[in-house]
Amino acid sequence: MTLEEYKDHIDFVLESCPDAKPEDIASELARYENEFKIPAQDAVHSVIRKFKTNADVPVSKSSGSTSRTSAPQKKVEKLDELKGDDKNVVIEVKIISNFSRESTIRGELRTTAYGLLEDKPFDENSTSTRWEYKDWGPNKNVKQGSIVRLEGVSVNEYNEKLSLNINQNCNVVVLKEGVDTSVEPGEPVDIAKLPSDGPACVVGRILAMRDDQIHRKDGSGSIDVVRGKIADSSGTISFLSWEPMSVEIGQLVKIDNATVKSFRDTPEINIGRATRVEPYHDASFSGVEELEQMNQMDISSLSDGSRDVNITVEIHEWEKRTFTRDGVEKYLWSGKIADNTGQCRMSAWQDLPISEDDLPVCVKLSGVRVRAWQGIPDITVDRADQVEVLADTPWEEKVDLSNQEIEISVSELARGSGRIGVKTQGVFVSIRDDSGVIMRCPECRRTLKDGVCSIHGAVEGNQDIRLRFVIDDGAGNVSVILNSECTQMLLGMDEKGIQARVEEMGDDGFVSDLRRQFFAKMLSVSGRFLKDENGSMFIADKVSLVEEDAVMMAAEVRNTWGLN
Amino acid sequence: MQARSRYERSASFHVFANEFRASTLHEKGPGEYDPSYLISPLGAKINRMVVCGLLERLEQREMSNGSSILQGQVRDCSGVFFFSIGDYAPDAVKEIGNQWLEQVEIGEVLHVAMTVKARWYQSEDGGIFTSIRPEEVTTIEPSTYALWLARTSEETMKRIDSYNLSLELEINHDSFEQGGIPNHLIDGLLQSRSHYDSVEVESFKMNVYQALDICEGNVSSARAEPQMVEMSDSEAIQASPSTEIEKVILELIGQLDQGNGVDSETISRNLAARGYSGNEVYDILESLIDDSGKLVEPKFGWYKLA
Repeated sequence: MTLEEYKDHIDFVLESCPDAKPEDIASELARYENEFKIPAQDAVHSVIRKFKTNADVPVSKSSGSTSRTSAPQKKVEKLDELKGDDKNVVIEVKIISNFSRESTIRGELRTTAYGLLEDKPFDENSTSTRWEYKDWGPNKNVKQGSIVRLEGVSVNEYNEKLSLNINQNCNVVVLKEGVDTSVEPGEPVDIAKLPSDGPACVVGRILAMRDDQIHRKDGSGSIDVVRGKIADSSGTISFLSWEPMSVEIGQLVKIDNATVKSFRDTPEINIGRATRVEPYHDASFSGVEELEQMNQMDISSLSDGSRDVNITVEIHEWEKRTFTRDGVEKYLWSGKIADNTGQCRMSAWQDLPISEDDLPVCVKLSGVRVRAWQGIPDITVDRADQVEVLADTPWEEKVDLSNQEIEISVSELARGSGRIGVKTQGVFVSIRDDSGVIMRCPECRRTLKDGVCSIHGAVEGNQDIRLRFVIDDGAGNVSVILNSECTQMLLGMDEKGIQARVEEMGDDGFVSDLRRQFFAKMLSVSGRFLKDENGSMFIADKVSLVEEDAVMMAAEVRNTWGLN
Repeated sequence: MQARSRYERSASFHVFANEFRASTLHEKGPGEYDPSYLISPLGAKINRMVVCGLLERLEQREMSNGSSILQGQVRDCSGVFFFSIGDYAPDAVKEIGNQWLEQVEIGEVLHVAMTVKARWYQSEDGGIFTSIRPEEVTTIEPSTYALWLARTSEETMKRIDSYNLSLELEINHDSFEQGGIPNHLIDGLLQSRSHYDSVEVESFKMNVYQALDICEGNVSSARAEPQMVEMSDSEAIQASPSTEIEKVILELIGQLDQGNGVDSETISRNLAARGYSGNEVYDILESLIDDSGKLVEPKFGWYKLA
């Protein structure tokens, strides 16, 4: 399958590396696409380099004057695949720690480095193995927190314990740079300024705390933990302690030598054995109520994985959904909610005192958690006592769901999580070649490529129209999708008109024509913005070309900057 | 999540050719897929840009390996962007490039728009030559070019403002952030402030004045008139390339001079790299010394800005 798909790219690589196997090239190209999201045409050069170096190894061996022969390259994903005498190993790892050490080797003062590394750096779903390593270089690319590909390292076995040796002639390719962790230990920082990954020292007040258990996924038992929330005047953050906590809710504490890790999209302080949690004294530090007040959230600030969230929202739709799990019928309530910053969803596992006739109803939620689907937050209410029904909305008028358009800049949208009911505008800077008339699989609506669905094979497709383009505000950009209706709205043509145009100009000609029409102009879109680990997109339900006049714009620039 | 951040599309800057070509600082991270950037004197950290202007020159060039590429230049109100469309350009770009070639050959005047990646070339003597690599190209209406001029003016003024603000601030992230410098300019400005000795803010401001004049229809009061190549009488066509070479020569000498001036061979080699033939170069050098007095010749074959 992949051989066919990558035919052109494989031929391209073969021109430079005639000895490489087409299957190997295909699987390498697929790996770049799947793992690194590097499309084949961009990956070919890296692939060529890879196969060239592979081919060069035996060449240099035969022509070299030294008698030393290089071991064949051994490429592995997991450290467990390695044996004590493996050499010339290629593996991708995350550098967990890195310490340098000066030592005298054969009468010479040398700096070397050592630390821990971890395999499967891009796989978040399975457990990684950690090994020690020694870096004899030391190589400047081996830095704490970096994800690197080690090329040509060897395994060292000592007292039945395996470790890796990174020698001076090894190649270290940085795949992702580490977070700069040069924070002074013991010096507290504002909670808002904590890194999303790295060491942490904070002073804050405990706003929430409760015992919890983490169940091991393999069913081998559970671990007692403490969860909670701590705040200072700059913000709040959840914490997860693997040790019992001898503090109280409301107490002011200093947490030192902890680490911040991100759970889903939300950073969380991890408290372990090495962490010090001690009472702190500062009479001027804000009290619990003040902090709670400051840390009220709104829908625009919710992120996947947030816990102990306090927020006031309007419930607009509320319905009971039943489902069967493990043979037992269960139910939950869910629906659309909104505030004056946007819309999202909410689910509740218990009955709430809300009747359909009262909708929309305003509720104050305390200590709830947030999950997200395609980046759109879904507030989860676990217990009815987390909900207090309010008589009135705290904002001026009730939100009108169908007309709500929260204006937000493209770059702000691109940085944040998914949103519903937003409006944004940016300069049209790119249009995808697969815009126009497309065929969809009747089973799954996937786009057909030459009449073939990637799941259902060759099928009789249904015709559809769509546009895909990018709008940009100079600081960020979003990829926009227009469905058939919106495309018609933008082009001022009906379906038949568009089809006729595509038939007349061809697919590429049609796209070129749109490029000529919209390139470098300002477009405004309203709809929802979805975001998950596969990327992000703006699904528009309204679109328009912003009417702009260069004379007016020039006058505005002169006014703004005093250029007269 | 790592994969996502690596695949994020870089934002598109709006930058005039003058600011772009004054850039001598570049950055490429150590990672395999790290994007590369050119950092302008005003702190635009450019990976991608939207460029609009007149297609001023376009020609086919045979490469030593037998392939052929298109080389050309797009002119905005402040100067030119050099671009080339090579073997690896997207098919749609190559196709439109070839159409343009035909149109240029019959003397058609084209307003074009491109999204491009910033590129540079460093000569042996350390001079940085900028160019752009088009990703998507199209012809546009002149009115769209005017919109681009207005937008680029606004963005340039924002950068000038941030640059001026930064002069009062300590050169570090926190101080820039607190000082009100927009987030997307902080990194670039930190780098440009520590790299460029003196930034001629006024010349970039002049470009804005020119652009605004054009937007408002006062094309005659904009000095670097982009319609110049549109004039069809033979005199104008004669005049425009040689003024262009003069400008490039002066720029080159300004950039390459390490104190003793620049020798004629280096000048002609660098000009050839940009598509100017050597024959008339000496005449122009002579005229820059004798006629306009912009150059001096401290010793035989070595040239210096007057």
